[in-house]
Amino acid sequence: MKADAKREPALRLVKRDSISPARAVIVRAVAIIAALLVCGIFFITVTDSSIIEIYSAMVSGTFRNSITINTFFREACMLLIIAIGLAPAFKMSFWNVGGQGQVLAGGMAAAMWLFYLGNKLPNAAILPLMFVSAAIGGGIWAIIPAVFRVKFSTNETLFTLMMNYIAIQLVKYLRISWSPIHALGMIQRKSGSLPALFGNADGLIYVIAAVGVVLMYIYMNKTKQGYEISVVGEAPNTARYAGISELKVILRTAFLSGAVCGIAGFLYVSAIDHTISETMGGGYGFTAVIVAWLAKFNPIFMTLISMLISFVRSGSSEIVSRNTTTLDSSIANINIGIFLFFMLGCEFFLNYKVVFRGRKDAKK
Amino acid sequence: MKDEIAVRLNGITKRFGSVTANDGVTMDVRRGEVLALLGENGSGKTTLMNMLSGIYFPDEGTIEINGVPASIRSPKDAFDLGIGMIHQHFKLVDVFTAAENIVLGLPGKSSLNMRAVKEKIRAISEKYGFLIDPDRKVYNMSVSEKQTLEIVKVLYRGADILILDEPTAVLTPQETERLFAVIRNMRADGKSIIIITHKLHEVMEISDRVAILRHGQYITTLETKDADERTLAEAMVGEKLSLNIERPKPEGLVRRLEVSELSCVNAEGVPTLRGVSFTAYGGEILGIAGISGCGQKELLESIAGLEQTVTGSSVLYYPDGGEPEQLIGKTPREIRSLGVALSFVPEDRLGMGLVGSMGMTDNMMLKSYESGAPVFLHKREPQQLAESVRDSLGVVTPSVTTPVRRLSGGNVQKVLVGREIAEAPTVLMTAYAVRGLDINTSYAIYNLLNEQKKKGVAVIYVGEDIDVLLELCDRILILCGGAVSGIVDASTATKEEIGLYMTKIGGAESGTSGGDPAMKGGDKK
Repeated sequence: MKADAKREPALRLVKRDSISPARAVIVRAVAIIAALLVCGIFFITVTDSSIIEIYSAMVSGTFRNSITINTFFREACMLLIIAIGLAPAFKMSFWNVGGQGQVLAGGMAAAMWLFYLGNKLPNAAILPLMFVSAAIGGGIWAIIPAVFRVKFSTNETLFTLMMNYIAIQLVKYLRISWSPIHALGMIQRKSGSLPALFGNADGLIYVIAAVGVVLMYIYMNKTKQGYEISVVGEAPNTARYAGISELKVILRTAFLSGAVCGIAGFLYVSAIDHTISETMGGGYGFTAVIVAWLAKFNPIFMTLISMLISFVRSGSSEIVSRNTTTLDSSIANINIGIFLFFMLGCEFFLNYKVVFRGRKDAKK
Repeated sequence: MKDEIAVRLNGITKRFGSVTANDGVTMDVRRGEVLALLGENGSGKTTLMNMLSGIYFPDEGTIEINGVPASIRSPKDAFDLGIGMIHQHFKLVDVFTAAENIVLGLPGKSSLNMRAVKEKIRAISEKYGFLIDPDRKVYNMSVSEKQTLEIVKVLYRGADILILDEPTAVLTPQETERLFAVIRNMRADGKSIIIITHKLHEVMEISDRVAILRHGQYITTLETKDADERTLAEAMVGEKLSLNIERPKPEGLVRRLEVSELSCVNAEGVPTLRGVSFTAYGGEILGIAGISGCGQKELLESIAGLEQTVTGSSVLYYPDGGEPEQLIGKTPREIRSLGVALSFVPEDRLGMGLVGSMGMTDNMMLKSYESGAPVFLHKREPQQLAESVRDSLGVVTPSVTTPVRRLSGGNVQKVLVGREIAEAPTVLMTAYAVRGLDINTSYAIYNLLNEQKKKGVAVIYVGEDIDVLLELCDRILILCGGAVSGIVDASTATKEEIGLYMTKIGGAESGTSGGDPAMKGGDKK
């Protein structure tokens, strides 16, 4: 290997075979601390606060009282539900970036019942209908690109992305046609709202998120279908060789992925927004892509990352609310962006090692 | 001019991990000559040429171009030295025209004078006799046109030393003639041409000298006019080595597979299998020899139901005491459930048959995961199987859950072969089962196959090493260009005989000296 050394560049990257868990934790912790520092510096430049004020505001914005704590958990749960929806598709190397559209499709399907039968049916009847049709709606939104991928080898990343915009336009149209007079909060109906659990209006969201994480973990790791997903995603030739029908697995998994996102849409309509709007979900369909990916589909990591992002979000809103004259709500997105940058950036260092050349040889 | 040395390689060595692809190769190429580079698969021809064209850098040794020591670190360095390589797999942009592909990547002003470019292309074409339309898009081109374009591209950049990696593999005889005419014109113009090929008659026809590599080592260079096909074949395959592989006498032969008129066509419409017919018997090992890409993969895959076959193909499977079953038209799963197992070790080992991110246990259940109660996976049996394969074959792995991609190549192969054997098949097909394995592991695999043979399994062994085929197998079927060029009795056949069949010369007289064991007193059923 001596001949190699002669032409070795000053700095090169070596792919790591594996990294010890302890080291991986350290790399990630460093990334989070660096992200917090950059966030703090960013706020110092846009506000008059000191760095301590900024961090304490972020913490108090999240944990000040039961309302802020509740919001924090609710947002984390919604992000988590969408992420567990995307995870099986990603595991299958089906790059579903259409979570947003699938949430909206599910939301539309749920809101449809609310609009037409919200005053006529009792909760016990309308909620299951909303739930099931939201799942089907989201599933259909995801299975369309899957059919085209399987039949015509279209690129599912672009296709699912485009489906988002179709969903957005459809929601705009439905808002106007269902409720031309009220621009906001249009669909107020007697039934169709998710009941409170233990006195908490969002209680059922927590339950659904927790159950969803456990079920998805079991599905992906312990079932035959989950096994098929891994084989098709990792080694399509091996799947063919083993006689696994790629077509069936891709369509089924895409539907499941969309259906879980659709259920998130149902929760927005029935528990959070009580209406439908194209901004529903606040872009979580995209944020969830990163959550699922960063966590490598590990449910515990997905939960932690969702909570981290929710924390940055609520903390940022708190700082914004203290500086309403100079800042607006998009600051939260900037901060989430900073965090994701560092989280994704550290993935690079987990996979590669930077090697410096020992000593520079004079070039011939 | 004729005797000037264009390229001199001095003690070139290249290693990939523990594998030595080239071992101290010293040879030269003269100006204005066609040098054929001849060698079996894996003899290091392409690796050696890749070092000339800047894709690899030698671990040891030096290269001189036109008498000047050169350090070729990148394809660009190679171009600057006037070296151009035409690879087996073309490197062209489909949606560009011929002219656009040619100027792609060349330095120059930001505005392109396409007219001047086309003028130059026309001049080159006329000079050497190429047929090329500069405005034709690559996706509209035939394989031969693409190859012409690759050659023109290299000439356009001013190459004096051209390397062609198996250029005739994809051509029809007429196209080959045209290519040879062009090569002769280039030679007349003083260019040096190195042509990598397996086809002996082409070597005789086109080359001035032949350099022979074997197992990464340079053997000799012969003047073509002093050589004949037999001496070349002998130099290529070398002396017969005694490997002392056990070969139990085949007993109780039972007809298992009867393949007749099996033909396949690839996506480009080129036939990959042409009317292959043979019979495989339980209790014997049928070897399949041939230069790589002569239809071995397609043959095994079409028996396993993974490949689309041409109408008229037939693969009959004879179960114990039952009516023969037609395998063509059955799904891979149906064929497997009849007891026909395929263990194919592809170039990248993991690509087909295993899932790299999964451990041994999960890989063991690849074909059986559907059995048992529905919905949930049952990991107990696969885990026991994984442990028994690990222990009986000596697979070195931290645990049966360690992703198999972390295992060494030999261990990966043991996992693959171990799983297929564990299915207790009646027909076991393996391809390249010992590819890249060390001696001891290879013998472990041979023993496994022999055990299967003794159990009465019909073993079909696609191999690369003729010495191994001769000692391990009972009969050897030789494929050449997708057709059976001969079936020989392995106990009497010679290495040269097989070498000749592999390069087609024996094809015409359809040698079947060891044709059908049943005819020689095997148990007929």
